[in-house]
Amino acid sequence: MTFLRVTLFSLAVLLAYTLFANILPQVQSNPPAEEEIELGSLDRAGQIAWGERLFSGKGTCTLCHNKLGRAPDMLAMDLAEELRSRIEDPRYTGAAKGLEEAEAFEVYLRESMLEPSVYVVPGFGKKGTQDRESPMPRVDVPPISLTPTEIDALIAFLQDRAGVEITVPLPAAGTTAAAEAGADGEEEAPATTPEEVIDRYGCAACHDLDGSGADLGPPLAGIGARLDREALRRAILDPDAEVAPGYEPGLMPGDFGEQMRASELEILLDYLAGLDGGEPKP
Amino acid sequence: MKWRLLLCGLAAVGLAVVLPHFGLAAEDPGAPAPSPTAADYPRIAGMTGRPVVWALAQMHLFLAAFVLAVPMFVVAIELTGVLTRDERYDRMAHEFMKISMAAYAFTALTGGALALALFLFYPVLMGYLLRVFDGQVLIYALLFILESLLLYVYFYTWNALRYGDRKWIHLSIGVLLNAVGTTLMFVANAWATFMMAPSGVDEAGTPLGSVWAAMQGPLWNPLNLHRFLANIAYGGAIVGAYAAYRFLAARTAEERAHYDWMGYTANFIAILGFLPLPFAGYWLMAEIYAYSQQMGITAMGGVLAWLFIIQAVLIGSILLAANYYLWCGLMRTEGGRRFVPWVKYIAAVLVAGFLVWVTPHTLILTPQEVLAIGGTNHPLLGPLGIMPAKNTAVNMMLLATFLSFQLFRRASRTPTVPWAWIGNCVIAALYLAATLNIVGAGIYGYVTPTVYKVGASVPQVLSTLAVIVFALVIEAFMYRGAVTRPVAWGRMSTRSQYALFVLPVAFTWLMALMGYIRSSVRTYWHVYTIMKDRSPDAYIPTIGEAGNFITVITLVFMAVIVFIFWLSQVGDTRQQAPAAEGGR
Amino acid sequence: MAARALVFLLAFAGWAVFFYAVDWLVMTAQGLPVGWNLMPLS
Repeated sequence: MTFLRVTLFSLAVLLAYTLFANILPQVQSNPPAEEEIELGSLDRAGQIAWGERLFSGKGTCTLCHNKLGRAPDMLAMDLAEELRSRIEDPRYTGAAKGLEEAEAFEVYLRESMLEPSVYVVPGFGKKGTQDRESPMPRVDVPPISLTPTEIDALIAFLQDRAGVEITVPLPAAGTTAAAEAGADGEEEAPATTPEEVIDRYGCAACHDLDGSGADLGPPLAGIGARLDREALRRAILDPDAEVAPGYEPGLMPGDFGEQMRASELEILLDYLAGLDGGEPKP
Repeated sequence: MKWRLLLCGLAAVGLAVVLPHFGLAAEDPGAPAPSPTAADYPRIAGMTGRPVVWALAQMHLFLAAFVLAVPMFVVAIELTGVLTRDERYDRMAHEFMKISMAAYAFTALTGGALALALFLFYPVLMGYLLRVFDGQVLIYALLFILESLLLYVYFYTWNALRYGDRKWIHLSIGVLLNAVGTTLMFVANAWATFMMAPSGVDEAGTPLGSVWAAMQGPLWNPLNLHRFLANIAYGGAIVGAYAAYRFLAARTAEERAHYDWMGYTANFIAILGFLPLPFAGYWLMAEIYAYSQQMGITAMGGVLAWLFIIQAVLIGSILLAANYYLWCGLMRTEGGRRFVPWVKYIAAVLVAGFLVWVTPHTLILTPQEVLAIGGTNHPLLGPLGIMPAKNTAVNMMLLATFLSFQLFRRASRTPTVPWAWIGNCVIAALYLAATLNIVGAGIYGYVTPTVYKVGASVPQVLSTLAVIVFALVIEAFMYRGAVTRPVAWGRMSTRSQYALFVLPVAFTWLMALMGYIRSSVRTYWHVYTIMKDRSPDAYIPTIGEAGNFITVITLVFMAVIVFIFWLSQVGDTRQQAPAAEGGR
Repeated sequence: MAARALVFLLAFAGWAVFFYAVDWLVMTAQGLPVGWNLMPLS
């Protein structure tokens, strides 16, 4: 009898733990797929979009370069201004010094990925090294293992963000790279219509759109007349940089830059920029 | 007894024979790490390798942790018995050892099965590991044989080497047994940490020729300490359950008293091993971050982050159960009753800490839920989700547990030194100062960037440790020559014993969960950055999937433990000789 | 009672200094500034 009671009690405890594990969000993390994709046909816009995917995907940059303060938040800062001041810093002794701007950015960015300790942004060094040693791993060796073409794409993406001319070459015809889909958990296929994007990221839950009536964020009808494409991009990627008057900062998630695919963001921007006060286009 | 010996012997010989054989099959010792393809992972009877290896490895670790831990505190209890000349200690130590002996055969059995499964399912990986660790498997096999020998000698000479100088010989054998056992574990740990953070090989995985360098990875010592402490806590929890069961099944008052006391001692050992465990875990995690930020973030901020919420629930239930048991124990003495009013405050701290700990960091919500809450974090509870709050909570919970424990110790003793009131004031001031420091550092961590958050958690941890160390030292002096009041062993409620069952169940499940995390931070690598896992099982399963698997392993382990308890009990019973046939 | 309060306060002050010293050592060893005035409040 005692035995039975003790057994039942232990089973109940065990069951409680198991249930708890099952009610939490379930994410399966798959290894990155290793099939090759053809890159030869990539144009500049495609290269930049690929760089952006690498930034949050295979490159795992956003693990640290985010607003938590582990590393400089590159997507939130004025990249051009920041890079300029770093290259001019007397502490900087790398190869980008004295070069023409766009080229200097390319050299600096590549250097920072391959030899992160050449220049350490003040306050971001390894503990106890007085900012002489960077905690950042080299991106061209495992576990990140970016290929030279991928590093080029990343630089193109960052140069684009800094608003300078893009100086890295496009991938040569016949180049292939490993597809990085699925690196961070199971990914769905990208959305292909604005409705799908809006549905997937729940925009209408906070913004009034097509009569959803939500009022946590500004209504989106006519948004294209108020903000241009670039301002819209900023408002989505870094929502708290500028908050529409009368609305609370901090409500809109700041991680859409990581959640959305570049192609989805472009679809969404096209759609929003088209909402210019007239009838919303389908 | 003989069949157990035979079983161990067979497993040991099997290990010694099988392992080097595979070693010989390895190719050029100076080659880089091989790169297995999907074809290198055989399916056997439709099974892929991971579930088999996972289950066997976890079973082996449960049993090994138990079998390695018990001799450690058994030697300590035996020594206490010699020093206090109290026969009860010796009897209890012997009884603990008896349980452990029955488990030893199963440990060897699962160990052998694990080795076999590894070589069958992951031949390329094992070939590479053998190449890196060279002849070390032979040393491991030798150590294993030595461990078996010492264990049997230690157990079977117990009554032969009972008093005087002979007792010291027996104790020495015990110490030697523990030295061998700990070395054995450290060697096996080196293999696990090599896979997580390889050292002693170049970037392509070519061994640089020194096995010692391959062992000394950055995670080796943190893992050694963590497992060492966890084993003690785990061993204590399991023998506690044994004592609780015997207590509940006891028929005489004398038996009840004995098993009550045994359960108390086991619970004490479990808490003793458990209290410093979060700090060892902190060191391990800090070393993981130092080795690879990515690996650290995968564990604490990525796919696996939710597991630490489960961990918190488990640790919370362990602390609550252990405290509840201590509070019930206050009723054993007349002196304990005056502390009962304190219990509700300690309970309040524990529950508050527990609630902070289960508050998730970021919730994954549907847009409608986001709308209802007004953001991805609750406006009021959101701040409780971040690390400084959790660190503050765990330290406060540990302080509360230590306070419970101190009250319990005071319940049966009254100090006689004249400065006792000063000592009490100093200890009270220590608690207050430490609490302020912990809460202060927590707030400091709130308003500062991440580096400070991490930095500020170290003073918190040190504050808790300082309370434990200084309070124990002061009390050691304060209670010299103290008047001890009789403890009514056996005067325990039935309900209190169930707390002793929560501990092993939670510990077992927790151990498997943490094993899953430790293994998963390698993501899709066999040997991190050096050898990719290209098997169909290279993904990290969902928490629910892992949880179900862990529950199944835990159930099997519980069945094995019940069988072991039964074995050690059945050894005591003797069938009555059939009565002589009457008449004729 | 007064004697108790005095001993308690003295002990508390002593422990406070001790903990502050430990905090200072730990934070400095990590290359982080300490002290309320240095706290980088936003």
